[in-house]
Amino acid sequence: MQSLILLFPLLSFITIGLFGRRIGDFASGVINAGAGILSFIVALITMLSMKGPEDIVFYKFLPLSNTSVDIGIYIDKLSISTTVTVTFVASVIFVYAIGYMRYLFGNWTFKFFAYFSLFLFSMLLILLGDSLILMFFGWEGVGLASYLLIGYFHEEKFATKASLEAFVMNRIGDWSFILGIIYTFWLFGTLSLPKLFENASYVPGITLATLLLFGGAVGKSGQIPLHTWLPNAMAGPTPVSALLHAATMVAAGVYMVARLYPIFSLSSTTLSYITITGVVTMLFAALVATVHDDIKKIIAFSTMSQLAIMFTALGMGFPTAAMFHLTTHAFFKALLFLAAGAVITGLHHHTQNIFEMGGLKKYMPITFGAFMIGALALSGFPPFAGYFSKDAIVSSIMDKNTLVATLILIASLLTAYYITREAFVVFLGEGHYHEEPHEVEPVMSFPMLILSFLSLMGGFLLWNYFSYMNSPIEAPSSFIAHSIYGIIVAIVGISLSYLLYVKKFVDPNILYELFKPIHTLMKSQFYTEYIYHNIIAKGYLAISRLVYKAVDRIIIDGFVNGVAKVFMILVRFVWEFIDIRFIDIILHKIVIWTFSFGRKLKIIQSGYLNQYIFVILLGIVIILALIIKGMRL
Amino acid sequence: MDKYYLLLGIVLVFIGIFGIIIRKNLITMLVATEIMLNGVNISLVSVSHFLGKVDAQVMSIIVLTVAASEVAIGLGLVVSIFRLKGYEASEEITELRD
Amino acid sequence: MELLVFVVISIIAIVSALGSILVKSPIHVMVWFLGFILSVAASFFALKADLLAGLQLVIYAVAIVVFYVLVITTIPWEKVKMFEGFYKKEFVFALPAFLFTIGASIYLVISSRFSNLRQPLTKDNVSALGTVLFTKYIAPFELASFILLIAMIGAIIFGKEKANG
Repeated sequence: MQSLILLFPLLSFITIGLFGRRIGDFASGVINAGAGILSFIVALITMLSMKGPEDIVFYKFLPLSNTSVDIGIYIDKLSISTTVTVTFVASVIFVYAIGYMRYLFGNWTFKFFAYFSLFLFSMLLILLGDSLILMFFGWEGVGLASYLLIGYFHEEKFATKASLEAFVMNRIGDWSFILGIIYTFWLFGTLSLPKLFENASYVPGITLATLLLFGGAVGKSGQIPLHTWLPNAMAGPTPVSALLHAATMVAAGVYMVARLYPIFSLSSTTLSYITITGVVTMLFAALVATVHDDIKKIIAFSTMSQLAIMFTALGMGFPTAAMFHLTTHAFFKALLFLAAGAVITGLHHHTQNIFEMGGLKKYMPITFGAFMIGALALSGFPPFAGYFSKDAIVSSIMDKNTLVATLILIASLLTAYYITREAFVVFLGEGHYHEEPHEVEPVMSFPMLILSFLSLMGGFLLWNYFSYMNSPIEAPSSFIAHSIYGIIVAIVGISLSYLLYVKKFVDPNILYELFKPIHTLMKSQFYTEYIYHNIIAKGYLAISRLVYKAVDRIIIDGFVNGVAKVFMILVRFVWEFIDIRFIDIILHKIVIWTFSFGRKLKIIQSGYLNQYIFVILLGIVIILALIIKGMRL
Repeated sequence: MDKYYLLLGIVLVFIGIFGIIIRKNLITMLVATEIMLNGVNISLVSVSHFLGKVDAQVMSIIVLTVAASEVAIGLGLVVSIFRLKGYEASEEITELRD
Repeated sequence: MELLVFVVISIIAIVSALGSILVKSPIHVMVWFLGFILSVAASFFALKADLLAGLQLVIYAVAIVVFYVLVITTIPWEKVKMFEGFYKKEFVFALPAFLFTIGASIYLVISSRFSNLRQPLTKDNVSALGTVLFTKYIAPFELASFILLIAMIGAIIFGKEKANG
C-alpha cells in the first residue's frame, strides 16, 4: 500500500518515457499530473492511518555476515508529513505545467513530463528510503532530473551552461555526501535509518561524518559556497523552477539534515557550522535579491535565503520549526513561481526583466492576487503562512541566541523589501507593451488559487503540526506577543518598497547612482560567481595550459622525442653493425645450407621401389647381425 | 627335421625380397611377393607340425586369403598403370601423381 | 625317407623360386612359378597339412597363376619386353646382403635349439583345422572374408576404369 506512493511516479515515468510519442504531449501531461495526485492521495491515507514508525523492507540487497543493505521504505511522522507536502505541491505544479507548456506542445514535450515524474520519484525515494544508500540513489536521481530539466531548452547555450553548472555544483556536494555515507557506515556499521537512529550515540568521528553529510545538503540546497547554480537554474521552464524550489530538489538538503537529526544533534560542532552557513547564506542571498531585476531570479535568491533560515533553525536545534517552515515555504514559494510563470506566459515569453513590466494588475488580476498573497506570506506578514512558520523559528531562537535571531530579522526585513518591490514594480505603475498581456487560462490559475488558499491559511496548522510531531510550542497568545518584532520588520520592509517604488518618494535611479558600487557588488553575488568562473575555472584552465606547455610539451614530449631520437640512432647502429653484418649473412647461409642439404636428401626420396626394399633388406641384415652378436655374447 | 622346413621358408622369403630388389618388371615383382608369402606359409606350417597344433595353419589360411586379395588388387593396379601411363617398369613409377 | 623327401622338395622349391625371379620372359616366370607352387604344396603334404596343401593347389596353382597369365596376355608384348631386365647396380649391392642373410639364417636355425613339446598331429587334419577355424579363430576368419570382399570391389572398380580408359 505505502509503496504505491513511489510506484505511481515511477510507472508514469516509464509509461511516458516509452510511449510518450505515441500517446501525445497532452496525454503525457495528464498522466504525469494524475500520477502525482494519486501519489498524494495514497500518502494522505497513509499519514492518516499511520500508527507508528514503520520499516517496510522489499528486498535484502548484499546480505553480509551481520548486516545487509535493505531496500525498503521507512515511514514515520517526519517522512510521511513531508511526503504529503511534496506530493501535493508537485501535483499542483504538474497540473500547472500542462497549461504552461501548452505553447511548446508538439516539440517532444512529453520528455518534459517524463523528467517531472522521474524528479518526483527520486524525491520520494529521498523522503521514504529506509537507508542512506537508497537516499543517495534518490539524491542522484534528483540531480539527474534537475540537470535534464534545467537544460530543457538545450538549444540555448545559457540553459546548457546552467544545467552543467547545477550538475557540477551538485556533484561537489554529492561527493561530500557519499564520503559522509561511507564514513557513517564505518562508524555505525549500518546504513539502515531505523538502526542508525537506535545506535546513535557519540563516537569520536561523528563530527567529520556529519560535516561531510552536511556538505551534500549544502550542494543540494544551494547554500554558500555551492550556491551559484541556484539562480542560474532559472534557465529552465518556470514549472521546473517551482518544482525545484518549492518541493523537491532544494528541500532535499534541509530534509536530509532533519531526517538524520538524531546523528547531527550529537555533534555540536556540526550544528554550529550549520548555523554559520545558514546565517551567512541568509544575509547574502537577501542582499543580492534586493538588486536583481529578473522576475525569477529574485524569487530564486529568496529561496536560498529561506532555506538558509531553515538551516539556521536546524543548527540552533529546532528541526520541527525548520520542517514546518519548509512546508509553508513550499506552498508560497510554489505560488510565487507559478505567478511569475503566469506573468511570463501572459507576456508571451518576451521578457523576464521586471523593469520592462509594470501595470499588469489590470491585465492579470488573478495572478496579481496570487503573487501578492505569496509575497506577503514570504514577507512574514500576518496572518499569512510565512508569518507563523518564520516567527516560530525567530521566537524559538530568540531565547537561545539573540544575535542569530536579530540577523534573521534583518534578513526578513530585506525579504519583505525585495519581494514587495518585485510585486509593486511588476503589477503596479504603468507599462507599455507591443502585445496585449492576457490573463492565464484556468488550468494555470486554478493551481494558483489552491496554493493561495494554503499560503493564506496554512500557517494556522502550526500548532497541529507541532503537536503531531510531539514538539513543544508556546500558546497562540504568547506566540503573537513574541512575534511583534517580526510583524514590525515585515511592515517596515513593505513600507520601504512601497515608498520607493509606488510613491516614488525618492527616485530609485538617484539611489542607484549613489550606491552604484554596492549595487554592482550585490548584483554580482559578491563576486562569487565571478570568482568561480573566472578565477577558479579559468585559473584552472590557465594552470592546465601552463602545465601543458611547461610539462607536457617540453619535458614529456622532449623526453619522448629524445627517446625516439636515441632509439633511432641505436636502431641505425644495430642495423648497420649487427643486422647487415651478422644476422643477414647467417640467415643467408642457413638458407643456402638448407637448400643444398635438401637437394642431397632428395636423392633418398627417389621413388624407386627396389631401392626402398633394398633398405629394408639392409635393415634385416643389421637385425640378424645384432641377433648373432647377441647369441655370441 | 622340422627346423629344415623352417629354414626353407626363411630362405624363400629372402629369395622373394631379392627378387623384388633386382627385377624391373612389375608382374615379376608381384610373383616375387608371392614367393615371400609362400615362404611364410611354409614356416608357419612347419611350426604347426613341430608344435603339433593346427593354429598356425589357420594363420596360413588367412595368409592365403590375403594373397588372393593382393593378387587381385596388385594386378588390377598393374593393368591400370599400364593403361593410363603406358609403361610397366617400377623405375618409371617414381611419383604417385600424374 | 623324410630327409630324402625334404631334400627333393627343397631343391625343387629353391631352384624354381630362383628361376622365377631370374628368367626374363613373364610367361617363363609363370612356368617357374607354377613349379614353385607345386613344390610348396608337396612340402605341405610332407608336413601333414593336407587341407592347406589342397587349398594351395586350388588357389595358387589354378586361380592365381591363371589370373597372372590372363593379365600378361592383355598387355602388348612388345612393350612389356622393353622393360624386362634387371637393375644391375641393385643386383651387385643386394647380392652380398642376400647371401649374408641366407647364411645368417642358416646359422641361426642350425645352431638354435627348439623345444621338445612335440605332439603328434591328429590324423584328420581337415576336421581339426575346421574345428579351430570356426570356434577359436572365427573373428579373424570373418575379417579375412571381409578383406576379400573389399578386394573384389576394388578389382571391379579398376576393371571399370580400364573399360572407360
